[in-house]
Amino acid sequence: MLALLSSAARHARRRPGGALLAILGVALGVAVVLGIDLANAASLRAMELSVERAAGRATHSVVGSPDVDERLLRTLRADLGLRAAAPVVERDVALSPAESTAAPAPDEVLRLLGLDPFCEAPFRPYLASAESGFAVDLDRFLASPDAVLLGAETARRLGVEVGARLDLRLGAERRSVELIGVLEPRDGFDAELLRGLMLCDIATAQELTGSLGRLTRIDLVLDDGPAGEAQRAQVEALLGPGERIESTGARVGTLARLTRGFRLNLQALSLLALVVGGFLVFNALSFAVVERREELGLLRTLGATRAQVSVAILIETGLLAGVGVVLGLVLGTALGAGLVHLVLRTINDLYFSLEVGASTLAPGSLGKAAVLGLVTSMVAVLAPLREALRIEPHRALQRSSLEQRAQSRARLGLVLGAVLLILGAAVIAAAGRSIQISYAGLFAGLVGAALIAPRATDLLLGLAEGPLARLLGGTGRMAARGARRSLSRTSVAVAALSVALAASLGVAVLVTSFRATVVTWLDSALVGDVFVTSPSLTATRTTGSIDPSLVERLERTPGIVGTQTFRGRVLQTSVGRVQVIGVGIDRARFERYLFAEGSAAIWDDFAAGRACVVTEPLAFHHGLSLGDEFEIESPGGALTLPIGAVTRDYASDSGVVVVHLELLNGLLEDERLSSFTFEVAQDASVDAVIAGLRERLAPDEDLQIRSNRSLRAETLRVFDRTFAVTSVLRALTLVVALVGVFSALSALGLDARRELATLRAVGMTPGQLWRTLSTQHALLGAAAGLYAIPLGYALAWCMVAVINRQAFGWTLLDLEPAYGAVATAVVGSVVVAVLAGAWPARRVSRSSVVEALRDE
Amino acid sequence: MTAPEIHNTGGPAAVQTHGLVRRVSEGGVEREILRGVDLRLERGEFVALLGRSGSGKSTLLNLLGGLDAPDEGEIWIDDQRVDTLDETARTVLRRRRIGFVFQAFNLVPTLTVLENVLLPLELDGRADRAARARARELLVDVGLGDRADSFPDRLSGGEQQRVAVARALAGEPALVLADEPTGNLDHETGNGVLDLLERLVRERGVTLLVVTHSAEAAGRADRALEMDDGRLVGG
Repeated sequence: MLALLSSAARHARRRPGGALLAILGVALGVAVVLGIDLANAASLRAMELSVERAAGRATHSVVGSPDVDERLLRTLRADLGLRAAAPVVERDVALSPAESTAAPAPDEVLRLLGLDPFCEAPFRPYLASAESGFAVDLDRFLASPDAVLLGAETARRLGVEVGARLDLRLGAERRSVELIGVLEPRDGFDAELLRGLMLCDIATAQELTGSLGRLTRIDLVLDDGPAGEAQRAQVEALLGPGERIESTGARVGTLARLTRGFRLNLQALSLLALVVGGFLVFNALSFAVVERREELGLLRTLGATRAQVSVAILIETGLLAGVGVVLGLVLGTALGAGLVHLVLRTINDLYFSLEVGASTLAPGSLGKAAVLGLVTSMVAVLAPLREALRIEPHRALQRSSLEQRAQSRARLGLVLGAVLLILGAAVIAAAGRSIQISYAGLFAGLVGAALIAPRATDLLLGLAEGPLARLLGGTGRMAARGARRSLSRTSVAVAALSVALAASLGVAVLVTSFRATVVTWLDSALVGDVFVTSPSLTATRTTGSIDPSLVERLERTPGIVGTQTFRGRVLQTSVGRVQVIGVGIDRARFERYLFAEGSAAIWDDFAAGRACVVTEPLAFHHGLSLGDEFEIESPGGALTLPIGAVTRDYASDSGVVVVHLELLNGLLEDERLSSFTFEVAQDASVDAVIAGLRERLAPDEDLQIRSNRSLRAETLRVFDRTFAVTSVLRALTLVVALVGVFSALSALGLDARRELATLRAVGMTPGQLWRTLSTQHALLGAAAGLYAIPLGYALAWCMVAVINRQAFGWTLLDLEPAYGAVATAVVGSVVVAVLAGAWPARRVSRSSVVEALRDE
Repeated sequence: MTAPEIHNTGGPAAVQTHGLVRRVSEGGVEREILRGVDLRLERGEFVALLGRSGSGKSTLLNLLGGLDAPDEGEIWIDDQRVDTLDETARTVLRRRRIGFVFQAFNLVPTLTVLENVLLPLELDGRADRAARARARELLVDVGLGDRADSFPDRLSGGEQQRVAVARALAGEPALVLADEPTGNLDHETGNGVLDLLERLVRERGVTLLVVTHSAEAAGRADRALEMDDGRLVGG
């Protein structure tokens, strides 16, 4: 056995390229999967911490629509005897740089948590010191109307000390607060919980957020089991309109569900990288075995049993895969650290503010990636091992039988591939709303397409043979034949390249189409010339609160000829908590909506508050359609409206419901606004109007005033940022595939050294040799690229029409051709294939023909 | 410039070498494989080259075929000095003037039998209709007229070597170099291949140099040369 292993080791030393490429294949596959997994795990942990930070040990919370009357707390404590009940006011606030209206950087957003220290003991232990009750000067905390606390680490990061004054942005207003103490965490977990938290007394928070008498929620610790159920029922009996009780576990679930589609898409892309990496490993390892078929035949002749040869090869593979996995774990950890920022930035842009500390190494993620890498490698080596063991001990395996087997494998691949394609299509058609099932169908289809790839490539190369022979004579024919005959050893790499190119092309088509749709949607959604909003802490949400008198004052600015107003609040509805947007718009503006179902003909009912409009994602996620009754709960009672139309909207993938502003004001019993737009007279300058508006703002009024153009640019910037992580993964998958093709083709060239030397001996010049090899490789690259085009478009259609809809509820207007991506796919694969041939061609051209002929 | 005369028998020589030296470096030590070889082959002559393994036979053959270059000395083929040519010029000379027959056949597995035979002409841009007809005739001559469209790995060893003989002659060369052409074949098949090779070169007046260990093969030749430790010692 030792002799077998030494033979393998010497082989690897003599041909280090093959071993290195196998290691690289495993490493890249493992790195991508681990990187994404770490980034996803970090964002999930950030969500958990964000809930834990605020909820502490509460088991349940009472929430309202939109908030809870604080008198309920007294009722719960007095009437039900619930001592473990604590009031909470919670709100994202931004630290405002003094004298500036610039948008806050994401890391300056804090979670303001207003608490009642007397009720807190059972809830948030990090607020208490280890030895004695509350960790700071309680008198000042309660008595001072602007006293706040920060975690020690947050204070250090912001560079503020006790006694410092901090400017906060709260909706349209700026407020100044005083840091009266810092909380020293007792351990690393507390430190995590305190990160990005600003604490104050409940009354202070109510005053700061303008919600006197109202609470964001009431936290409860209910008993376990039937007693808890009974308590829950008692609480429920006391709740008013729009109020309900929910478990805190459900809140983590809600956050996770919001970003589920996004995270799942990332995971699928990382799995694709692993599949492509698996192909690469398969290719490198099977090549290593095929290359040694004669040696293995000899070993078998000398008495090595199949088991001995198998064990030796498996040990060799295990060692190579082991090195690859370790390298992959290191690379993946670094990649994860980079990706987590991209992922969190997107979550911050699209969903809610999140913060994560130094990325922690999750043993689960590391283990999962390592096992995946090792298992893929072992599975990858099984087929070539079986091939090698078929070698009759008395003779080495001949090329002709290799080719025959490759051909019968290709036939089998065609049948299996066709079955998988049909199965995949059927699964996707039957997937309903399940994105996981759709992905399973998509993967089945992709594997099917990969299985068909060798046959399809063979067909394309066969078609190329005649024209090439006419064009280039014998060299052309030899190149086409050589490419076809090499498929026994390159088909896996070519299939992997096709699939990777198709995936890359598919994603490019998706992103291009999506962007084109968003541009069209922006044209319809962005009317007016100047947008005014309270500063928003996430890029696509406006839930701020602006006094309507401010609008009246601002619209007197010269040059303004029209105003439209908007208001957004999250309310309890018949399909859960949903953003309800009230729009104070006219008929012309309503007619510009991109209706997916229904039309602007319902304007009269809409304007009269007799119908609502839901966005596509909301309709999709909750199975809503025209005419369905939609119920909105509010302090003023529940209201039921028919759905008059469904519109396209790409601002929120959880969906919103749109009603007329007057209706929403009536429900909320006040007339505050979130944003408004001004139309500017044709002869007036938008910039001058914006300057005029800014002059009219008092120093403590903080509004974002932007032109249509800048808002549009900002939206597209957020869009591009959202897909940045996708682009990184696409590039990684392509790199993995290209490394595979490079390794397969350069190894093939080296393996054909003797054949090439014969050509040189019978009169082929180095230039002719280079041209033949380049043409042969270019053909393989082009075949892979061409096969990828229909596959890429099919994939794009699937992602747009099925997966994207399931993940986000969006449909796109059109599928854009993305010619640039097509050209990149074909040209890229040809270039890489040609480059892969350059090294062996150069080696053979430069080395002695005599040596090469003697080498076998 | 004309070739120096060695063993001049009257007419111009097909091959002449003068003071050929070839050295190789092994582990930092230089070793002379050829130590000043002077050789003259007449046109249409069939010469056998004998010698022990490692005596330098194949090295001499490779130098004559332009597959390798000497460290010292001159090589003339049909009044053209070969050792001073660059790689590409040597390659062009090889495909136009020299045919090779190897011990291991060395057919190109991705080409059919006919395409293998046509290969030197194809590379030289001469594979026209007439050339194809000649290649088919050659295949008939070597007894493989019905296997033109087969791939090499479908043929037996003897059949493959017969294709190699046809390939060596397809470009109408002046010189055929055969390096142990029967070494991989059984006695009977080997004799058959030698019969064929001898008949075809004699019919065409082509010079043939055969490296062999077989006294029987050497017995067919017009002349037998022997190499020992890098020097020609007989003939």
